[in-house]
Amino acid sequence: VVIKLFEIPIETSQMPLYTVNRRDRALYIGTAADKPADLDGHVEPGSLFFESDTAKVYIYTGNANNGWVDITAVAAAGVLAADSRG
Amino acid sequence: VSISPSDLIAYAALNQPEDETSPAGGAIDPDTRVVFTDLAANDKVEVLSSAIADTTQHITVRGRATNGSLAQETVLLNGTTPVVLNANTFERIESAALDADTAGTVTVRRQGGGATIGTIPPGERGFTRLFIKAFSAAAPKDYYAKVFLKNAHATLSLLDAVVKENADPTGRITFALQNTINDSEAPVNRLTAPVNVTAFGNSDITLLAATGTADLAAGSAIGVWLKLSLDADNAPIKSTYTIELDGNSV
Repeated sequence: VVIKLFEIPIETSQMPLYTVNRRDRALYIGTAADKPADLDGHVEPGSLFFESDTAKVYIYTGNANNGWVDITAVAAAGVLAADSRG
Repeated sequence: VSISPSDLIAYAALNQPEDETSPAGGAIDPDTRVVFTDLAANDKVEVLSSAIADTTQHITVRGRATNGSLAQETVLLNGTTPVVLNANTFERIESAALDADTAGTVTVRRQGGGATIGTIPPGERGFTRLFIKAFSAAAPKDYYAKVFLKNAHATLSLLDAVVKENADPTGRITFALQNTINDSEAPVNRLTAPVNVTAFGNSDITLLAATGTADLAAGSAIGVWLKLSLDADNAPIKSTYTIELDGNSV
């Protein structure tokens, strides 16, 4: 019998930059440089990010890789709708 | 001459993504192995060849510095004289890669003639760790990485070949075999499971059960997928996984 073992090195890391209660959704505020890489995978889906230097609004989908969707237009429409109701 | 253990070699797949968007797997990379011995302690490394003539090739050694950051350094080989990579003290080694074939066997080892980390035979280009830059997140994640177990004997088949899990120190890896020999399945990224494979598990898988062929022919390789299952916010891992290829030989 021929037997050959292959011991293969592996690694992973953890990015505990933010400790988030998984039941919580949060509103994050920062510049474009703060989003999204540092927050990806560490915030609850449904969290919002207000990009202060561009006045854009994003919602987090839960995707750990670039999971932020620009909803600025939706947010603006919501503001207009609220305004129209007086 | 019968097949010996040295005829059985574990190679990487051509795609070794370090992100979560690039293709994974693919065909065998016959230039890059996946077996080496990591540093036992933080240290600088040195490289040398077994051939005096190897003075024109560069080697890039990549690893993590003592602060955790990825670091790499490229040096020119100086034949059989060790060349120390002075810029970095490494905490672990990720890979080593030559830019051209060498006449001799290249050794990467701890400085001062220390323990060998890995060797690169003539005609090959290096070795690599698996799951580089994989990371846990707020939700559980599964990563997939592919290796090939090759029968490098010139003429003989490895009879009744079987792949086994030998050691899984993290308890987080299962494996599966491709359904065809010398395959090239390449999922869209390393978070996507391969399709043309056996079920993932820890149990032995015969080549017959996976492919319908019992023997691994000379020069052929079977693709083996490793599935790394990370819990939510899984602690960092620096470990190994040991896979085993058994068979008989006339």
